Amino acid sequence: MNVTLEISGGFAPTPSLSVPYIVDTDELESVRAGEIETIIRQSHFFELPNRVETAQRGAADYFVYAITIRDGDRVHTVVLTDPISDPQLMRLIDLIKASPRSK
Amino acid sequence: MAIVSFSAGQVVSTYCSAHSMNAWAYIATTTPWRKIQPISTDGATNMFVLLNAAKAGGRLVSGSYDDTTGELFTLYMN
Amino acid sequence: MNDCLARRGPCSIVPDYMLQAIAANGTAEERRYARATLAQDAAFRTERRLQQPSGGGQPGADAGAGAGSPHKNRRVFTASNGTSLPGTSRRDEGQAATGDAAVDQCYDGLGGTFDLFWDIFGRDSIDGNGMDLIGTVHYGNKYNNAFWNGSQMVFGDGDGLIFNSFTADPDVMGHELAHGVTGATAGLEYHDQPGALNESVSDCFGSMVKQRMLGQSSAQADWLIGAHLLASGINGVALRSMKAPGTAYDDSKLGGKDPQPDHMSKYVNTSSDNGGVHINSGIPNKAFYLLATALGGNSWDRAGPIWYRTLTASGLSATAQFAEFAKLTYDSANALYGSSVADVVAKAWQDVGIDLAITTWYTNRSVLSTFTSAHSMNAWAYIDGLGWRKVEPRTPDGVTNMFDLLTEVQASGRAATVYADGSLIYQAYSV
Repeated sequence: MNVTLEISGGFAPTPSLSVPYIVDTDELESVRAGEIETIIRQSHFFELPNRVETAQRGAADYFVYAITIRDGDRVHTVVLTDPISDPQLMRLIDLIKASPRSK
Repeated sequence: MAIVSFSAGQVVSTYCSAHSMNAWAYIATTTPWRKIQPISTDGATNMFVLLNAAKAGGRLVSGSYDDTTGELFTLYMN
Repeated sequence: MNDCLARRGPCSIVPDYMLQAIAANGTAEERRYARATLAQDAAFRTERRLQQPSGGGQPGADAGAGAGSPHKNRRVFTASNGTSLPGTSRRDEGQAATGDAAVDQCYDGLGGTFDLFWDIFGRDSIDGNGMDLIGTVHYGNKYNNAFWNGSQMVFGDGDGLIFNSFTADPDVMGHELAHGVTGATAGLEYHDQPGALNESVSDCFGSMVKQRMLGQSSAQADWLIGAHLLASGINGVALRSMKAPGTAYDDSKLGGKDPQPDHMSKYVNTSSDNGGVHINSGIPNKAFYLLATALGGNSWDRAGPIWYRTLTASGLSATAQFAEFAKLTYDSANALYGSSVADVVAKAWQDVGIDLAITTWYTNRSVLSTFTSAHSMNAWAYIDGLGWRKVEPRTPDGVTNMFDLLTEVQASGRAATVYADGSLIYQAYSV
């Protein structure tokens, strides 16, 4: 699977923030790849709505996370904002950020 | 209508807008504000030039005005 | 998701659509917990609605109405590196320092912010009605951010490589709480120019909080936002500079240079960051800095009240562009302190490229320079405090008359009183 994470917003968006994280699970070692694929399956990622908006009215300086996953000919994007209510998706984001970027 | 002369007047202030022939002066001995007679554009400007130069240079002016309209007719810079 | 449900107790922040799906389709245990959580969420939301001030987003009642004793009630929590809010209580109002730097810094910063709004602006907490000040620290895992979630502040610890703890600077706390004030009053929408104004207002009040806590006048202040947030080894002085937007940092670890503009001519058109709300805030930030330093004294003496009145009592719209905000600061200054201070406001905005286009008399001004060419009606004057203005090209002789008056004023070193706007001179007196 090909996983892209784009983070924007925050208290002080720096230019580095706009560089997306791109991970190919086929290139990762098996434990990490397995964990990512498990979360994607258990969260029913491809059935989630495009926008999981938890930012309240008047909220500010929160991060916006856009996760795009390509699996064969399936592709789906989910956008979340801080605070992320689903611990699984939070874990997915941490895993993507910690993984080596796709070549 | 009568033409009235004045002399040794200090130019206290001048005023204009960007409208044609809308130029005025406040001369100390001939209060109140007087409009320059609006009969020709270049002529009104010439009179206004004299008044501004007098004010800038601290010089006195003499001349005449129409006592019905109050308008300035002639000017000397002394 | 299974982890969440296995914990004893509610997961009050799992979104409803997920809970409803689980309540319908999960295992027996999952269905039981999901239904219990949905019921608790409903009760929680009702309770919170009762606590909310009425008319959220409308101009809030200032504490002039709630005169008497203000209600300062700070509640600091820790998320223990998770993302549940508000987390575990660590320090309530009046309790002693805990020794946890993030908790104690948050507590102090909340206090400084409350005090600024009450002492200077007569506002009882964020909503004007003494609402609790809630902050959660240690949010997330090496979380490089702080945010306002609509009802409380949230702070990360930073990763130590790029950022330190976001509680290290009181201006960050003032910034976040000010988002609450904006939300309770003008409600500036969080995108494009209104969003940049929203961000700028937070930086302005955050700076006032910091300067007041440190006892700094406008001249003494550094006008930096997040001066202690960049980790050592990062090439930069802060996250933002109000004094010199665009110069706060330049480091490849941050992806390059501080992107803020300091003038309208450098406005950044982008779709990221909600239309550049943290980027283009540099322009109104600089206007506030210029105003505060031009007026002298402390930033909260006169510049602050002008900004506060603009935000809360001027009819500022939620979709205001920079020009509307600037005009309302001019009007507020005029109402509070008179035309000479309003002129300073106009100059500050002009210096960042926003001409207020106020057609009014500018009295007793020197004519510093004049210009003309051989073209018809092409006559200009540089009016002290205003800048270059063209003589209204209405009639050839009218223009000549005006130009003559202005050149003579210039040559004699005297003054003129002009009726002008952002580009033209319409009338003039020699004084």
